[in-house]
Amino acid sequence: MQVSIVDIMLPAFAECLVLVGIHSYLGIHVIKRKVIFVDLSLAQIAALGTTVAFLFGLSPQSEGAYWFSLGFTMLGAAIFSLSRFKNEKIPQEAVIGLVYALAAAIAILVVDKAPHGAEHIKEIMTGSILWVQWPTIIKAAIVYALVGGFHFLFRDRFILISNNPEAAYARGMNVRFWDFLFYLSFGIVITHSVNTAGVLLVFVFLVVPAIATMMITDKLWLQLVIGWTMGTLVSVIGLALSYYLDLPSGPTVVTTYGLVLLVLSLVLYIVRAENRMIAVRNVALGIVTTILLAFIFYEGGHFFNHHDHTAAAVTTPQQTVNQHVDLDQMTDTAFTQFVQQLKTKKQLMDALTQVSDDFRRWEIIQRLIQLAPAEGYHEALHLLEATQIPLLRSEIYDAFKQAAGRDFGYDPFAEASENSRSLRALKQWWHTTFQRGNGSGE
Amino acid sequence: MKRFIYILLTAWIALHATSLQAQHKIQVVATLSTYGDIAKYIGGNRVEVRSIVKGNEDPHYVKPKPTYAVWLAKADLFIETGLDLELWAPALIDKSGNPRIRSGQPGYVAVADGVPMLEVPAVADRSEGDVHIYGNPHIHTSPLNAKIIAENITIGLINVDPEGEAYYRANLNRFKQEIDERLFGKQLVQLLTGPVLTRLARNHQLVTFLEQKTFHGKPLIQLLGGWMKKMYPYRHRKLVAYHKNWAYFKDLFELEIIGYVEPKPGIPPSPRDVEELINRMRREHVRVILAANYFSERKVHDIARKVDGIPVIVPLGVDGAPGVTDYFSLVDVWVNGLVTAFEQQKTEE
Repeated sequence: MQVSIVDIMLPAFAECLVLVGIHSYLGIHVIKRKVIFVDLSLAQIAALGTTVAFLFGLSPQSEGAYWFSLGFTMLGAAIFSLSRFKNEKIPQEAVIGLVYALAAAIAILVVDKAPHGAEHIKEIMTGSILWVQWPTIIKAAIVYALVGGFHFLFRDRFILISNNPEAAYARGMNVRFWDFLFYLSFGIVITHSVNTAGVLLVFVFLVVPAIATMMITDKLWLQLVIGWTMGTLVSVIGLALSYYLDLPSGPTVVTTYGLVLLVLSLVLYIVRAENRMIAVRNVALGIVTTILLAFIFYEGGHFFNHHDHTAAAVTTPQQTVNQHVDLDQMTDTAFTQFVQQLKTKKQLMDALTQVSDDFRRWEIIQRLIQLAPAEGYHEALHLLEATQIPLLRSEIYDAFKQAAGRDFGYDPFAEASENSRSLRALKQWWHTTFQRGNGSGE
Repeated sequence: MKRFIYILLTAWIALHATSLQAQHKIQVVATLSTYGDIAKYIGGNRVEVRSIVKGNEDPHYVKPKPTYAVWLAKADLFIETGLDLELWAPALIDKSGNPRIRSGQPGYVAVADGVPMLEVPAVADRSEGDVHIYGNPHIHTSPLNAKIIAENITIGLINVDPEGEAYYRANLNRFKQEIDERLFGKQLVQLLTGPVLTRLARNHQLVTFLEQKTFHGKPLIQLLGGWMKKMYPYRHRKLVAYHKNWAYFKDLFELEIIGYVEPKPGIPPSPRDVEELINRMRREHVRVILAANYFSERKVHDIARKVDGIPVIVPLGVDGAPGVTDYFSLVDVWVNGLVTAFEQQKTEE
């Protein structure tokens, strides 16, 4: 069962569609109210809520954390609805920016007390649309539909306070209250979407369709239709590009949105120009300049990179190589074969000097014992005294026990001092066996 | 009255100065809590250790805090990896204005000295995101490397406090013995000694050696104990890791990591990478996903749900989770987490 492009991209695409639906609409409000960064600000407040919840030991994906972030969003909505002044001496955007900065800074301070949350803040920026789960998408769809329905029900009021607050005041509407409801519903949507898609993606979903459609028409229903079409199209293109060009999905969709907006505005510029020829010329000039700039940067990059390479020639720390490369670095079987090939006492004694590993020394000595027992057992005695490995000592000692037919009381696990007596006995045995043997042979 | 206060003040200062003198401990600052823990083991009651990065934090990034500069300003010994992991450390040392702990001074320890590096890139180039030019810097994931780390720390402590040499060396030997026994089992360490076992394990010859050799007619492999024994049934098993934290761990226990969820930290993987990873996991029946707990836990669970995986979320360093109080309990958590996951996979199949 292979995974195909559909399995991977379908949830991401569905999530995009769900986002497009509500965000294209809310974006129009946001642009008309001139509160572009309110989404960043509310998202940050929601994140602050999650972070504070974390301080109380609630994990970011738990239900408790969700209510915390919703509570904080409500607080944010209240702040924003109160900060709309009748005489616009202080632009609301200033308050929004301030709230963003404060929420972000406080979140970092809070996170500092609860170390594990730092990654949560990083996550908010990029999001992880590729990993979105079906239950999350469905939950988001339900919440968005409820918010959408609420806005549809009271569409007259919401549109009026966004388009023409003066008229609303004149009619005696409670503008503050409706503002609060607007920001609250907006915050609920943002809390959901930022969690899955990340701030960057949510921002373009909100702003780009609104800008694009406002350039084309003033009718709300037409704006919505165009915004939805555009969002769907861009999601398809962006996700496909991300798949076929092997790029991270979220940032690719964001960039695609930007590109589409650029192309659209160029086309509109030409179509609406009084003198088409001049417009086309201007656009062509712009394109040529862009290409030229790109070329200069490209060449410049290569130029500097070329120079950097000589400077940054990095020396990695040399690893110490064992001096006895040949014998010590052979594989076990190769070594055994090598030892079996050796035919003379001298070859074996030479090999012995070249090997540092005690087990391999013992292998050579065993072969030596077969060819020349006197020298063999002599070297074995040396190794028995020298080696630190109890297992090997016990093997060597077993060989002596077998050869001599008796126990010398040697303990492979004891300290050298405790074995001095048995070692003397072993040496004695070697002398009597091989010196006498040699003597009788002559 | 003025004079009285003056006398009182001098007396107070003198009193505290002497008491400070009497109980002056070697001030040690380690970048990672794991190095700090090993320094505590070696330094014992002669040192006071502080660590900057906790076990559940990302060692690549550190939020600067004024306290760090204060710690470093009065530090006698500074311990870092010495590779390109804590890129923030040199700036911190500069800020502290403490010349004794600069790189190359006696008060500076690079714990990676002498560690055989893995994943050394053929071409040194940072364009691939988080490529470490000297090789993988997460050296402490192998207990064998922990012994080298301890040796380097011991040398550093002796440099700044020669009087304590015998004490530090005794503690070092105790540490190495404990690592060996917990890694290979007490019996095997008695039979073969730590250095021999370490060499065999480093060359990936340990298991073959133990399976071939016998002691009193019994195959040595039956004497294997500790972490090696626990992981023995799962050699050559395949798993997926969240990020490249585990190079030395998988090398020691001979595991096979077939892919990484997020090869470059902080940059989401492309759909193609994800597709390839999921396909490989399904094709080769790989389900275990090993992740350090400084990554987003939700993301790891999301991924696991998507591929029907079994997430193993563990701290990368000491103090990174409740109960992980020292290096030994840290390795315990890694090994037990993986064993449980592999067992779960077995029973579900």
